[in-house]
Amino acid sequence: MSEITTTLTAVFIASSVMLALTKKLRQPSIPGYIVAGVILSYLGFSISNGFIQVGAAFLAFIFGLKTEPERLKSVASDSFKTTVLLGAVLGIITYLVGQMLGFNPIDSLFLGISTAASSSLIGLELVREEIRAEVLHGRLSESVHLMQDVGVVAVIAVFSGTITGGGFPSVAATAALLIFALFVRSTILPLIEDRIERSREIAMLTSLSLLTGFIALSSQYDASFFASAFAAGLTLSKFPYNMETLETLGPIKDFFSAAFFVAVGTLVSFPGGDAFLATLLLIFLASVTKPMLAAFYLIYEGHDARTAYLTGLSLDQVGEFPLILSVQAFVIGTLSAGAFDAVAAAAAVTMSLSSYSSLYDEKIFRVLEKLGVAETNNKIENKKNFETLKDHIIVLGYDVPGKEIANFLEESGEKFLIVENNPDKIMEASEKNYNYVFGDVMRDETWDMADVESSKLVVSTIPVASISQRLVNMERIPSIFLVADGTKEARKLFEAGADFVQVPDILGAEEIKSHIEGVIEGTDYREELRRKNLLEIRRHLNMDEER
Amino acid sequence: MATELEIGSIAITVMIATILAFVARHRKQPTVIAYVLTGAILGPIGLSIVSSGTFTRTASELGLSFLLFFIGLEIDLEQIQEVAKPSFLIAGINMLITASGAYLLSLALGFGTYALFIAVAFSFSSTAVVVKLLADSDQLATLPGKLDVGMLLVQDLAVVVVLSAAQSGISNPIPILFHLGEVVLIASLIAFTSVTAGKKILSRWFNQISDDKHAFFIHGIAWLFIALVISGEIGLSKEIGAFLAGLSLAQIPYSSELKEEVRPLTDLFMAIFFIDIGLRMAPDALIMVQEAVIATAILVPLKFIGFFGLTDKLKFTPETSFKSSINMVQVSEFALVLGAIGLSGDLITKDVMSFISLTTVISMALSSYLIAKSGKLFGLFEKYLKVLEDDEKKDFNVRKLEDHAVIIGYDKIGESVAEILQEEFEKVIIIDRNSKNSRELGKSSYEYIFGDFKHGEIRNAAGLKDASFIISLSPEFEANLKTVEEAEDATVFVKAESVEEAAELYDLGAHYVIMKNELSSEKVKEYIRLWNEKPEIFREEVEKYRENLEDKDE
Repeated sequence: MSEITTTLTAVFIASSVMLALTKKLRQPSIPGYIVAGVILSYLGFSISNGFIQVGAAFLAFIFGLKTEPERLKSVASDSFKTTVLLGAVLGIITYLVGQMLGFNPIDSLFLGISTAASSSLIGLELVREEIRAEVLHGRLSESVHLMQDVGVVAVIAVFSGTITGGGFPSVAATAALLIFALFVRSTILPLIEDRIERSREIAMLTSLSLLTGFIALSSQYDASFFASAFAAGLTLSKFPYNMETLETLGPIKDFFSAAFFVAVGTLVSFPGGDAFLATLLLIFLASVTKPMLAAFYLIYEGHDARTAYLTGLSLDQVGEFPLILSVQAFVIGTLSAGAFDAVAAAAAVTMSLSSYSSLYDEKIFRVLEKLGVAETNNKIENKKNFETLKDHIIVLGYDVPGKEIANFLEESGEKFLIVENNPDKIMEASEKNYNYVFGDVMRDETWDMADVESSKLVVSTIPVASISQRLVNMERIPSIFLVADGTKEARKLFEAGADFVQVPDILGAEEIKSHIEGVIEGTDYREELRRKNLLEIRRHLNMDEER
Repeated sequence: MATELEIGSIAITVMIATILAFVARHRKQPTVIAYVLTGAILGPIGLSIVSSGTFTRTASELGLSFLLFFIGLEIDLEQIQEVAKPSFLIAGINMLITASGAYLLSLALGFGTYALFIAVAFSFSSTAVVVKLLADSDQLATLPGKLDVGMLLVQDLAVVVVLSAAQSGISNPIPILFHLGEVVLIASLIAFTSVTAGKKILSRWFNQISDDKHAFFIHGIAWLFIALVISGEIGLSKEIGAFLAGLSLAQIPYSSELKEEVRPLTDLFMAIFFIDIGLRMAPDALIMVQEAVIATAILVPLKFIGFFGLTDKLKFTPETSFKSSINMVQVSEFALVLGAIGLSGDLITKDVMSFISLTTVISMALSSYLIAKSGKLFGLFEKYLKVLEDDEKKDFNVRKLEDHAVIIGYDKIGESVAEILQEEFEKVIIIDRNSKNSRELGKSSYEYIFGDFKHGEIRNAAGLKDASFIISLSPEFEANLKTVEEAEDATVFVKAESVEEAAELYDLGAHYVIMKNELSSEKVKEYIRLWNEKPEIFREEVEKYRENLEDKDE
């Protein structure tokens, strides 16, 4: 039995037990792995640093692979400013705290990065439903996380000279690798992409070539290890097959990253003395100062308090990027043990806390609201583009279903207006010359503007249970149509007084059922069905082109 | 593991392997050869810039373990029972035939006293090559595939015995036979317990985390490593331990998904395994080229005839006999392991080692072409094989699907669709990757496959080509494209997330493209119209709709 097999056996048994436990407690997996490592080291196991290097390389690579710089363009300026503000303020405060506690400049730099960046792995997982439903705070969190990840890579590139001790040449080499990656990505890959067949094995080999190639270059020229593995992933991120690559490399990454985070746990020791103080401060800065700061700023920028706080709360942890970086730096001896312990312990604690804060985010917000800390900035008003309306229909949400309904109402000559809190969607509505109110449906002011008392019907297209619940209990609304995800929720809403509650799955199933019955009765039906719908689709496509 | 010193050579190795594998794929050749060639180019036999070391050895070892784990996951116990007896007979007798042939051959080539050693080394076929290539071409689940796997496992059991004999230098046959009995006993005992345990304990343990793909994967890997340690402790080979780990997991519902997750890791470690074979060829290995070529030219047909004759004798159809035999004609990588042990124990000379390793590599290369082209080759020989056809010869009943309906993705819509389809079609197959549904579906009267429809094996298992009705509720465009492309006569309903996707799916021949938002918006519009114009009817309709909801609730 080779030593590696024994180690791996211990690693995976411990991980599997901890994962079962974290699942039960609804916790993210990373702290679970770290604890697994702590237990293993207590039992006398040690894991070769090789796993740290390989794991860090794969993690950074996969991050690169998931990063599409094109998406940065669509990031609204408020997310950009939030990221910069958080990065600068928290980074500098933490850096100074580090200096005061007697850490050297490099240690303090790492401490600074760790509070400045949040964990996109965890933060985004927690707001996944909101992102899917295109709720504004989901979109804001997503773009801030994206910006932060890119920001960390940029900071690493700038400081790579200090960190590797290679001075300016290191910075130049790191920058060159990143630029080279972007160059290959945008100019060379499109030329050869047609020739590349979709084989998983080849996809795997290609990515491994890039990964090892970039790392070899980085070690040759003293560039940042992390940034170069990231750059390798970035090279392939635009690839039409990057889904294939992700799927193939996913399990390989899972394998090594489990070993990686467990290894992190074996290296951590309980932070003592100044490191303990530093850990506490890091935890406070990351899980209290950071969300508050983000929320205050977003309110200042004119967002409503709820959106601002919910966005802030999705950022309340130490990121995995800083964690990976510090472990790697610790292994090669750049980072001191105290600073490493502080970052790792703070990461584990804040990541765990974060799952609770997201579970209770609405409650936390309401408490803050009562305390008077969370008030929407009243200087910035909701917007609307009409005078007054009477006997109109109010459509909530301007996504695909909202658009469908608006289109239908226009065709049937009804008076209507759209309520939406996403500025991009409002733009679309105003291009069509529709009446709109820009604002949050959870706020009374929005309803004042929509002249809800004189309206005849509200049609909601927002499939979020907490919102529907609140709407159905709003006495100002004369009649309302709602959307529910399941039958249970629908019944509850009906009982609470909704005039109609659509369950998309059930309505859809009815429609499909009738088509299946048609097809079974005769084959003519299916050709007719195909022809009719194909025409409809073509009509839609032409409509889009005309616009 | 990778340290900074080695990273340059690792990078070069991976790059060359990528280029060669790319060329191999492009020319429709197996990638195994590309890997061995990579090793040969970079190793002592070529440029001599990379050498086989602890890292490559460990990864190779892990590769074999993962490969056997993968095979285990593939096997449905009820199905292996069918092939157990023939596999045992064919593999056993064939080892004797090949060994005798190889013995005579080595005598003829002048290896004299080493002939027995060579004969034993050559009598096995390569699990690594056969299973890897069968998996690559999605043939593991076919009857010839299963027969081959069965035979290889029987051989693996024998390998354990031979290896322990060679290591302890035993020459007396009685302890060897005793040892063989012991191994078979232990292995069947463990197989029995692990499978029974698998059904009860494992499914409970795995059920807790089954809705999390990542956690599920980690649990699977943990189970594999536990099995490796246990089998090491009680003196079984790691390969058999890994196989049993896979086998016990295969009996719980979500194993097919795990299999697809394990595949990339297996691919990675097996690539290193084959590169390592190339790396381990010594520069003086080339002296015996002539002998090795002659040996391959004789051994390959000999193995084929042996396997074919035996399979045919057991009354399989000519096609099954041909395909299962053509896969098994190479010399096993185990010959290299045995050779290395023999060389270090002074049982053989360097010349003999060179002969063994060259014959292994050449036969592997040749056989990978044969496996990749087995379908075509059968086409060539089909008319001559007609002579052997006989009414008595029958393949085991490999499940045949016809006139069935397939539902991809199980949600609220799938649930009510399944009810109607059940009335109209003989069989309804549901493919779904959400393990939250697995308990309900496992109990239902539908046939249920857990896994991702994007994977070829899962599509094969659903018999897409012979289906009469296919409905995909999966939002994944890729999967839906494949569904429409692969369906032949079936009526196809697929889901699309956008108008553009819908247009493309219609162009490919979909009969109806489901667009969830449109579907329900249509109905909502109707309700708005009613509410506005005919409040009476609106109220009635809503009543009806609410009753429908109550029904659905129960």
